[in-house]
Amino acid sequence: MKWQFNHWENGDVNVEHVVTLAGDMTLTAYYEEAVQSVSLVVTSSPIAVKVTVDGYEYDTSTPITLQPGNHTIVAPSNAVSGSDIYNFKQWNDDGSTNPTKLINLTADAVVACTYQIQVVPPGKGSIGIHAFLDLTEIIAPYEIVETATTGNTPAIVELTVGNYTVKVTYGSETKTLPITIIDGQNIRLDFQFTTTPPPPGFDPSILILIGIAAAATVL
Amino acid sequence: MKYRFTHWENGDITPQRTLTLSADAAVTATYAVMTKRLTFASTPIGVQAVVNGQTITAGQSIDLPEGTQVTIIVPGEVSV
Repeated sequence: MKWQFNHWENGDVNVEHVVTLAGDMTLTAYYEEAVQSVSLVVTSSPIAVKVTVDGYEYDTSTPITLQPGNHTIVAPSNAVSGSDIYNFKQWNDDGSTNPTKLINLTADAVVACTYQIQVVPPGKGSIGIHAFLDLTEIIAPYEIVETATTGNTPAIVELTVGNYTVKVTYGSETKTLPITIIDGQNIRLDFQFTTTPPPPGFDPSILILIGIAAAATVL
Repeated sequence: MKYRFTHWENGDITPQRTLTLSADAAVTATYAVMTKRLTFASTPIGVQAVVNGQTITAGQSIDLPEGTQVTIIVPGEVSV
């Protein structure tokens, strides 16, 4: 076990301690358990994504300093890159297809995961919804009303060809956007919110409503 | 440096001595340096320190002249 010097019995925090021996005396050095750290790098291919480690968001390939022990990595179930949608495929070390991974770190580690491009079936397209707060993507549970699916942004929704109205609500803010889904097309929708700072107890959930738009409002 | 009386040349350890001078005589009083005991301790136990250039382990003591300026150095990080 490693220990880090902390202080002398008189409070001196320097490892070099000077005293005058005026009488019998005892000098005591106090140590504390050294906080060890390890580095974790999460990588993803063929695209970079944002992952959370113990609830904190990081870009893939960014070294993260952690204490040894158990940690939880969550990769997004899906992600949008350009006009393509990618679905989480697996963790490369054990082949697990669960985007949530528990890891026991005892030394520096690199954990890699793989995404695969989503092929949109004929007659369908999809939208990827990204919500931002001060240019930072909001990682929050979302709910898509039609399917009652919950997860983290970005929300990927596959729709049949047609016209829709997308309404995204974050806190008290609501954004509305009409869209047209074309066969095989993936659309990325970015919504910028200004709810800063989120008040204590703020529900970070994102509500996504997708409704078929009236013909008169179709772009 | 402080000194402490230890004995006369005849072995008498009493500082006060009475003698009858019947011839030339030399009397010698012997003094020793007064020392104090420095004990090193650590939490956790087992740490080594350097005291004025001398390495000691926690739990050990070292006798040094009273009034000595002591420089004690311990490692910043230890494995025990």
